[in-house]
Amino acid sequence: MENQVDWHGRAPNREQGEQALKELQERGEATWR
Amino acid sequence: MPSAVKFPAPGRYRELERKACAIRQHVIRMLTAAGSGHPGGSFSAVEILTALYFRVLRVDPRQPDDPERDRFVLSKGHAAPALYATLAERGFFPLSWLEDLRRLGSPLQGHPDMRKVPGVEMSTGSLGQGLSVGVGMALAARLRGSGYRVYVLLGDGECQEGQVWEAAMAAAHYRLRNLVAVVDRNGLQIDGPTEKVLALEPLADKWRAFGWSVITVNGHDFSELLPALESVGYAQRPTAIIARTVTG
Repeated sequence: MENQVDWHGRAPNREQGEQALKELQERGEATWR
Repeated sequence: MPSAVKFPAPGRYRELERKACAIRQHVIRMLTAAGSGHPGGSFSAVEILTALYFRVLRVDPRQPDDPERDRFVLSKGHAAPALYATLAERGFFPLSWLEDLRRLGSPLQGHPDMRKVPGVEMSTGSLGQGLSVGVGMALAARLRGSGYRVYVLLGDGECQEGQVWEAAMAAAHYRLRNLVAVVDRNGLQIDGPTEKVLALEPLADKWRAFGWSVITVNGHDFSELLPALESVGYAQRPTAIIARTVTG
């Protein structure tokens, strides 16, 4: 999603949402270490 | 174009970084469930909102109408998902409300409604108007002899609106040192890169020319955001914070 104009006003579909959540959770775990 | 922005490595603000991560997760869930909304501009504002609501703003969710509370106006109202997630995490309303973003009858609509959502100071969405509201709020504080501060978050594309500059001129004219405009400088808008649609640079110089103190920060780095947001009141003029961010 980063620096992509298309994501200004388009919601993710279910698959994209799950992928984004996975990436966020991995990033969050890196923060919590 | 804004120079490349990097997310800092986890550091001394781990609690804020965790909160920001949680807010991002809420935003993704909300938008995926709603099937519509604005992820890019919501994500670019997350650290700014986290810094404000968990460190800077003098607000109490138990007393959302306290007349001495600091005010925050989300002028870029399409970033409402990020504001809602932040307000819910802060305790203004239950997290369960987030599941109903953009549903018929839900208080959490696509753009914030001050009549329906605790913690929302102004209904926004029509761009260019929030700074004018902030000027009014800041002036009201002075007239009442109140010490509250006013923060307004604008989009960078929003700064193409003429009303923003009228408000900026008024703020400097009235020497509103209790007013802060934060520009979410992510470089993109609905029609493409800001510098191709209607170039904004040199943006910091423009705010200075209108009589504001200007600070430029990495909008995802709490070590830069927090000192900038707390600097309000030290200058005899309003403060503009150009927060370089990444959309999405």
